[in-house]
Amino acid sequence: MSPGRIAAVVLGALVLQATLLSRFSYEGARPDVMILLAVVAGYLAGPERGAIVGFAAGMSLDVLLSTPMGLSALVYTVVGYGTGTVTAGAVRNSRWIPVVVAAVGSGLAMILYALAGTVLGEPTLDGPSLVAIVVYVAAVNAVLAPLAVKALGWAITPDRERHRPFVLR
Amino acid sequence: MLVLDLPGTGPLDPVRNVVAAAFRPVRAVGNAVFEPLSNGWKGAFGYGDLEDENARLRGELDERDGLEAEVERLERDNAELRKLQNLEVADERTKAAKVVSGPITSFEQTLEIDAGTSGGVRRGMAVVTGGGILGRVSDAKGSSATVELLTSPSVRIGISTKSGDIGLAQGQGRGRPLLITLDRDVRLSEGDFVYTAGIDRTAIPGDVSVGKISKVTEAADGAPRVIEVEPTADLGSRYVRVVLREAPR
Repeated sequence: MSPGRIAAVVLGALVLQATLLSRFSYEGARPDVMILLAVVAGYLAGPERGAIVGFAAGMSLDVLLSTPMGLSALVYTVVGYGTGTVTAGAVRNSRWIPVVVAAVGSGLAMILYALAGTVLGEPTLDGPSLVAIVVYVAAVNAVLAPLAVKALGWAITPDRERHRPFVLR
Repeated sequence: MLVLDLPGTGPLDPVRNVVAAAFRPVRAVGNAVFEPLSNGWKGAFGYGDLEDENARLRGELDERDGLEAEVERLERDNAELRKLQNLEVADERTKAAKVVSGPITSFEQTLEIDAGTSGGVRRGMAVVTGGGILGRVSDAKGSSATVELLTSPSVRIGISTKSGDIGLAQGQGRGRPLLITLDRDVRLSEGDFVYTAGIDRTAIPGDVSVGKISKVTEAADGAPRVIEVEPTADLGSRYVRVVLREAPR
């Protein structure tokens, strides 16, 4: 895993989230590409790396939010780790699996975020309908999943691994 | 870190401010580039909302015609009362600002405006639109400030009714009406307007429109009385004014 490449992917996603994706609101819900990074990293590289990428994505997003600093980092770390653990034995020979993992993982992450925020006294359950948020974020992240797989594949897999024949990996 | 940054403490604010300031030019460029896309999206998926808004505004215009005479009478009464009390009330100074960014995620209830401490904006100041109060400044940096919307549950504003009774308005979340608590069992009807009280120790001035009563449920069988108010300010406004009045010390 290259820290520089991970930083580049996280920063790129953050710019995309803050300037473009946050504008596409539907029934008050907005896309969340940062959680997609945590989910896909967990799926591609396992629980530990999923947690690291989740922490980096959450912390960088926290800097721009008005919610308590560390809330997103905590939730995204748990989600990255959880995705890596749950999908550890999953079959990886279909291009649809990451799409499904991204949708389900992102949806569950939104529920976890809302509950964690409520525990900390944040009005996370008082905004748009949680159902709308879960469905919208899951749908958008399912569409963006192949792109995230490519970007994080580039950042996580070392060059020598990528150039080695698949059977030798 | 979470414990350190729980609301009201804010020791991590300097870190946030530095990183957010470094990121601001990137956001500004992104906003300029992607604004047309955003407008297209709003046009495609916000048409129903626009129709509702249009109908609501037509209704309000009709009501305002009738209200004009009432306002004129109240202004005359007000002027006489002020003379009687020998009060000198100056107009509040305001600072115009543009909303540069809306919420970044689904769980945020704040806006960012392009006026900050360099323009005299301070934490706690009221932010208004032509329709009434929009919210209050929750954080101010050099050239920008974060505005917490009136509908946020953490925003509580002192209000007064047309009969002069004082109460408290609290948000219940985006897209939901405000909830009013009054000290006394005051007679109120749907359609009545409520205004900021301006008497508590905050920076929020008095007599700014807060909203119109949309529902009054009388107390019964142990259930408390429920009074709901729809904000008169357009929460999607692109231009706002910050009232440059600091809380009395």
